[in-house]
Amino acid sequence: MMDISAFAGEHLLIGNIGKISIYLSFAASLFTVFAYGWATFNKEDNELWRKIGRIGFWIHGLSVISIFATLFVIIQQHFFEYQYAYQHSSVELPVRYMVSCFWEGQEGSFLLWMTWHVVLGWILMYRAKEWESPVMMVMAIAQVMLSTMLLGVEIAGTKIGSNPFVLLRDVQPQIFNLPFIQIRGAENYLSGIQDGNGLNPLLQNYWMVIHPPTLFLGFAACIVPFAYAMAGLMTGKLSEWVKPAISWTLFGVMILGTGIIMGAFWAYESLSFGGYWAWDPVENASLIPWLLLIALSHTLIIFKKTGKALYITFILAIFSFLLVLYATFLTRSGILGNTSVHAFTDLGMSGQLLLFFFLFVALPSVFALPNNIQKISFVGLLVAGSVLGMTNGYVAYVHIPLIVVTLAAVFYSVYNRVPKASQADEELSSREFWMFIGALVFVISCFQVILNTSMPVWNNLFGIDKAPPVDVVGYYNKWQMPIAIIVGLLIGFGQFFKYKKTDWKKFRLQLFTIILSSLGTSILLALLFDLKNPVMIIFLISSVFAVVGNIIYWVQVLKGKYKVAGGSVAHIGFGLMLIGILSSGSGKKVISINQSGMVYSENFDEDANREHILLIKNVPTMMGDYEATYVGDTTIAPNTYYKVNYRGFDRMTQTYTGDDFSLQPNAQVNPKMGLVSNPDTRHYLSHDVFTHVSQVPDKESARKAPFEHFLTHELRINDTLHVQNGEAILELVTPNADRTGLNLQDADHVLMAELKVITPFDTVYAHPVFALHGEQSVSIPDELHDQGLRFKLTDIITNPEDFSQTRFVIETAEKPPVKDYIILKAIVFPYINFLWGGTIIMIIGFLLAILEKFKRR
Amino acid sequence: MKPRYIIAIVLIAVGIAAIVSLYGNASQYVTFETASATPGKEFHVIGELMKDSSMHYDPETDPNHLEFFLADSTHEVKKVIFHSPKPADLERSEKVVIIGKMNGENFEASSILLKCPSKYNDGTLEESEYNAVGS
Repeated sequence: MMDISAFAGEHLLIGNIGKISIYLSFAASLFTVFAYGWATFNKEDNELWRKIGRIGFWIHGLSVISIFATLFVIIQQHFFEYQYAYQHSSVELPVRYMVSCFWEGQEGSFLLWMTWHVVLGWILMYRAKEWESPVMMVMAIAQVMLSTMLLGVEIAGTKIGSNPFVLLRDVQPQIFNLPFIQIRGAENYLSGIQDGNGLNPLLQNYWMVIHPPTLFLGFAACIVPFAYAMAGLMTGKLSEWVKPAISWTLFGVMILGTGIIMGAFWAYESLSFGGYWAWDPVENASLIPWLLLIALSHTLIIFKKTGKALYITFILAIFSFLLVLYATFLTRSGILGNTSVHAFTDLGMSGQLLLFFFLFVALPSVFALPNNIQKISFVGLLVAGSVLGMTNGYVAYVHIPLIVVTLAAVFYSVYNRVPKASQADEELSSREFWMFIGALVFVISCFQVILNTSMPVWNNLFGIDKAPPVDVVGYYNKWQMPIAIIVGLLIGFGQFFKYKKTDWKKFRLQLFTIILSSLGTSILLALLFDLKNPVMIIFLISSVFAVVGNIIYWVQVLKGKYKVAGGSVAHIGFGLMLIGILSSGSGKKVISINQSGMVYSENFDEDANREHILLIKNVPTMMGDYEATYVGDTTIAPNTYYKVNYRGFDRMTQTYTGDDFSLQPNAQVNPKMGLVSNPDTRHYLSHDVFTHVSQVPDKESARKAPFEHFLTHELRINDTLHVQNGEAILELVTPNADRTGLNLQDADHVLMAELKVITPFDTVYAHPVFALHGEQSVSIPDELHDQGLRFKLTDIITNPEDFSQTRFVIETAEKPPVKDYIILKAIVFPYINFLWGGTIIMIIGFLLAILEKFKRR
Repeated sequence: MKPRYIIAIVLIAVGIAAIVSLYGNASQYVTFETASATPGKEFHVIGELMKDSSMHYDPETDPNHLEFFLADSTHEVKKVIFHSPKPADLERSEKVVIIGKMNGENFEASSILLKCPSKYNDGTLEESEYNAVGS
């Protein structure tokens, strides 16, 4: 566009280092695939090629680290000549949130994912032993795909990837037309760009610093069981891969589960939708691989203990990773459109993401097909189909069969490859049978979530235009609650079965103990939670059954030994989580029910939801078991904190309970996003009181509004004046008032009146000033914005006879008072700590199980 | 019958039930005309906020009552009532998806999805969701 050889102030070196690192990481990962592939498939020199593969992966890994470091320096040093820094950060952004800029943009999140793959790859390189070559080959294939997402090169008119190191002036050349840039001259454009666009305020939260890396580590971990399964298919060691995959799968379940719950906790603590889970497509996208991963962890153990369920283990290992890719496609391609509140930008990479997904769908079939002829014809078919598919846009009868064939090929080819287990009847009294049922229940749960979340995909595939169910949350709950009930029951009795066959007599006795003790506990809890709905009571019994069953198993069968207790402890945690979901979900109560709406309209709808309450400053309002008073706001830029005092109040005895506290929900009136509200929650052991501000008045513009209705009054001392909403009494006039701050040093006389202003809400004083300097007079009015009143002392009519008859001329003016109020929503979540506590216990359980597996090696 | 066949049948049955149930429960994107044909049934309506006609929200009388006018894709205009505070960025929205039902001449929205010009990513639209009843 213009011939300028150098722009002042740019730091181009660092961006070039970043770009070179991207290209290098791509080339090195491609090289690693070939090296490890050679080491896997060739009998000769495989030791040498394995070493070459290691070098390749080291180069790749260091390049990825270098990309990460370069991008961080660019953000941290505020190099706004780079689009990424300009778009996602700003000068005043605290250092602790700078790392969050990485995951606001897509490029950064792909980079994070790649970095975790590198870390896991380094561990696998030295721990996988004989599995190193095939497993690392699969890891490297994923890295090739992920690095193309960052390439940002154009080949034959198609943009491949999006480079985080592009310059602002290349992406948005229109900046040169901005007047303040033109004044400086194009070569000095950077001096005009003082600040970046800033980070979304919702991401400026410490949970947002740790939740995405944890979640992405969980996603990254899903590739390891997949890679082992592929390694099994490649090498023909079809059953040996299971053992090393177990601890990796447990690791994945633990980390991904932690990441999901962290996201739920973040939503609960800092979003204003009032809950921790909304069945939002983006939440679901992280849930679906987790559900399959849980199923996988169980079938892996079944196979290890009994040699059964190998086929489904393969399928689950394959699909838990494929679902990570599918989830990435859903959330990153922009296809979710109308159905999700999470905003992700579409970088025009949906084609690339789809290709990435289907390449990995095809991979297992290629490895599993028995001979080269079948492999080549399968690949040929896919390539032909894809070429046909890509050249003509979307054609339903080309694409749908292509997708079906690719997916079916996975099931078919793996089925033919895997050795068949015996056709003997299933033993109903064996532990593996019930574990298998449990795994299938998780598969069903996962299937239902995928089916619903993929609504936009079905719309595109079949050319329909369906919207999600009206009550999305209710619909999901209707399906998932029965599933949770079955899971709770299975967890409760499953462990009492022995592998292969169980003695029914002994089992019956144990079952009897669990049923009795869990029924007793359930009755107590049902009273505590005030449960009346029979479905909820069944849900409670099943969750309690899960907890009690595993406690008894741990104490009786495992004799309380903690080293082997991993499974039991994880199950106890899961059961407690179910109890927490039940108690906080069914007992959730909005206490900010508004009554003032009664006056509003004659056709008042009884069903209308009045879940937001108006709190006028200093007016106590009853709210549930509390008397709430909004007492004022403080602004600590960029947030304004609204302080609300709560006094516990017992409606039965009409007395204060002494349960008093203050909450300060805050809101950021963000110039770019309007009101961004952050809740504040009072945590008790038994319940949480959650509040957020949903609306605040615009006090600034009300303050600027002009005064009207000018009236002049002649008053003597102690005379009363009627004003809007109340009255004002002229109490005294000080003849020689303090002049400080009034700029009236030269005046001969300075008089200050004192008026007591009484309104129904409060009593305040107004102090208008009147000054005389020779023949000239000056009046300084006093404006009371909160009352909407202005008082001005304009003249004094003296009476030389009787000083007490002196009249003061007061001019009043009025306008609507600047009202100070907030609109608040408050919710009580009972016993939500079961959920958070259960999560922690579950994580401890996984840790114990992983440690146990490591020791046995 | 072997347990494995029973399991397979149950699995397939639940799978089909999930598909049928989703198809039956799925809502539709409709116009006001279609929504008026079956009052009381909930639909999704996509439309544009009528920025020139009056929007009514007076929190001091009722913080849970918002009225505004929306033009659907056929340019039919209806009054929309939303029993919740006014979403902060309603005026800036380019596209509004309302979920709810017709009640007489008015549309009672239980949920509002807004598409606003993105503030953090130029040139794209961003969505935000507002519900009358917390879910």
